[in-house]
Amino acid sequence: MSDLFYQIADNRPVRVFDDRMVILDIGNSKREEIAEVLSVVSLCGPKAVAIDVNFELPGESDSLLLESLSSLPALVLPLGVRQEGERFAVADKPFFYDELKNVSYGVVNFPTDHPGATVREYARSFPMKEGGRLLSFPEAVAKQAGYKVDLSDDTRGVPTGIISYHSKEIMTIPFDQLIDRAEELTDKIVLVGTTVEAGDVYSIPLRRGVSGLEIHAYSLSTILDGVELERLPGYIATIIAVVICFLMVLGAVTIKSGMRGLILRIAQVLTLYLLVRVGYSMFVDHNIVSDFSQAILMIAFGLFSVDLWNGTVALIDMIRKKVISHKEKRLAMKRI
Amino acid sequence: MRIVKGIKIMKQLLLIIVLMASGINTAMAHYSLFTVSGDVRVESGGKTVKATKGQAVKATDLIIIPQGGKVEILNDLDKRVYTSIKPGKISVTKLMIEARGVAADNGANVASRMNLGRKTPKGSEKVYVEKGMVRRSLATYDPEGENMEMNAETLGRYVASRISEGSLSSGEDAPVPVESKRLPEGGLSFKMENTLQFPIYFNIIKITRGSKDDVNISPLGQPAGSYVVLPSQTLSREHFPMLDESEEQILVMTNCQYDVDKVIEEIVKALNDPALSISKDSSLPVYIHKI
Repeated sequence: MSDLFYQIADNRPVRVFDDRMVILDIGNSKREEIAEVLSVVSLCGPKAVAIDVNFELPGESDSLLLESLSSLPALVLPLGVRQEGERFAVADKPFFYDELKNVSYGVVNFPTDHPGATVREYARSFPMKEGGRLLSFPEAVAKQAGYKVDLSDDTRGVPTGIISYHSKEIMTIPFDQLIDRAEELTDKIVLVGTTVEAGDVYSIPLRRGVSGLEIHAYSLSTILDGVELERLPGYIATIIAVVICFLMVLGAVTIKSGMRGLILRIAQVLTLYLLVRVGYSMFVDHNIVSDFSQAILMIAFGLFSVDLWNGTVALIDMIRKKVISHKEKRLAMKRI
Repeated sequence: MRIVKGIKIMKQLLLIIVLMASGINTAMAHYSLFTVSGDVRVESGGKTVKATKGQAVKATDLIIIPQGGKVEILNDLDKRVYTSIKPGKISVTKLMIEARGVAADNGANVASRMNLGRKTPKGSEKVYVEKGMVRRSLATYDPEGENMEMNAETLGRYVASRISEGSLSSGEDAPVPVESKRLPEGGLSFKMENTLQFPIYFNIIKITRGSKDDVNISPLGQPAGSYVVLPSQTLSREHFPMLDESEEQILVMTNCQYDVDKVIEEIVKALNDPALSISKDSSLPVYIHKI
């Protein structure tokens, strides 16, 4: 249900233009072209550079690539991890891992329920098998860019934050326009990667087919905003669901009017609207993500149970009356 | 007493200067057109020019938005992008104020989303619809567009209108390089290279003029679905046998797939009923070219 709130909020005619960062889209560029692009980026005076491209194997003319990487300020490179029990081990890393100086690494894995699921959260850090924690990609970028990253609460598991996708505009510059728009990278966090990699697309609450790079950008924007979206505690949503359901069922059993069915259906629709309206206000005005789907389901099933009960009672009553009527007829026949 | 009076006058002067400075600063506030869609125009200092992305505008400039058009203004002061799709003439300042008002109206935003099955208002033509069937290969190559399809009615009427007006695009303003030529045997050939960053979809239809115009798939066309050309791909096709020169072979190119059979039906209807035409001002992401 929270996806609906994202979509309503994103549909508003005002968006925030996040000028702290820029996405540099390298498209389907080859390694030599990427190296050239990075050498130009280093001349643009960026605040930090984060590259969401994994150079897993060495290739020809890597010297230019390594030279370009060495010249970039506050560089963050990606790592992929795999889960081993409750901890993680590095699975994907560049061939020059730990050889370059002054480079940070961030884990690019997204925390989702299952592969292909909608990405709603970003990870903060990952507990590693060999001890310690590795920062996630957006957290590493924020840290490298000089923003304070507080991970004091990260002691167990993979702590996550909810990504704020709605009403945001992040500038994307295609790599072939870099030279003409070089000044747009000055003093910005530059996220380098591709938005057209078929194997790196995901669904987010707003739409499908979003690249991993863009999701990292939204996550970074959320971190830099410093305003966290928080989930409404589950028990509060349950209490609300129980109370509303109780009121609906109470109405169903106490309203004696012949228009009871109509009144209840209108009440059901109004309640649904109110839940969406209140949930949306909590989302945009108070940064609280609430999921009232439990309440909506309980109302539906509650009214269904009432209908079932009333129907069963009526059925039993009808059978009882028929049996009594049949007995009386037989008695009357016997007397005759 | 004189000193106190002097200080008072100085304070007033200072206040006036500060107010003037903030007024000047506001007047020089940096606004620019973030995106422009459709035939949007800007009226500034008595002159009207075509709006272009990135164009700087002043607070008092008037933005003229046509039906189906859209404009987004970037306010560099508060780092916000303000959107308007309302047709008409509006000043930059008023556009931002109205957008802010709409954004703050939570009730209206929720109601617009939960329209309880109400029909979309007249004039809001659908350009894209959601497809039913998802193709795995297309999902791999075009994850964004794989479950989107151009609305056949809108596309068909638009194509028919452009054909009737004779306002087909020339090869020079094609979004990608397209070449075509007559073959010695009387056939036709074409070649297209996708230099864009996303797949393009196209097909070729054949128009036979007469008392009642008829439209069919061209011998150069794709009878099942549409051609899809991926970024950096080139496609060329030839039809060697003689083609009737009185028949027009029309290339229709879009940024997502369309059902050519449904589109042909709509083109035939619209060609034979001028009331179904779509205004020239409503620009769709469609390129139509006579081969």
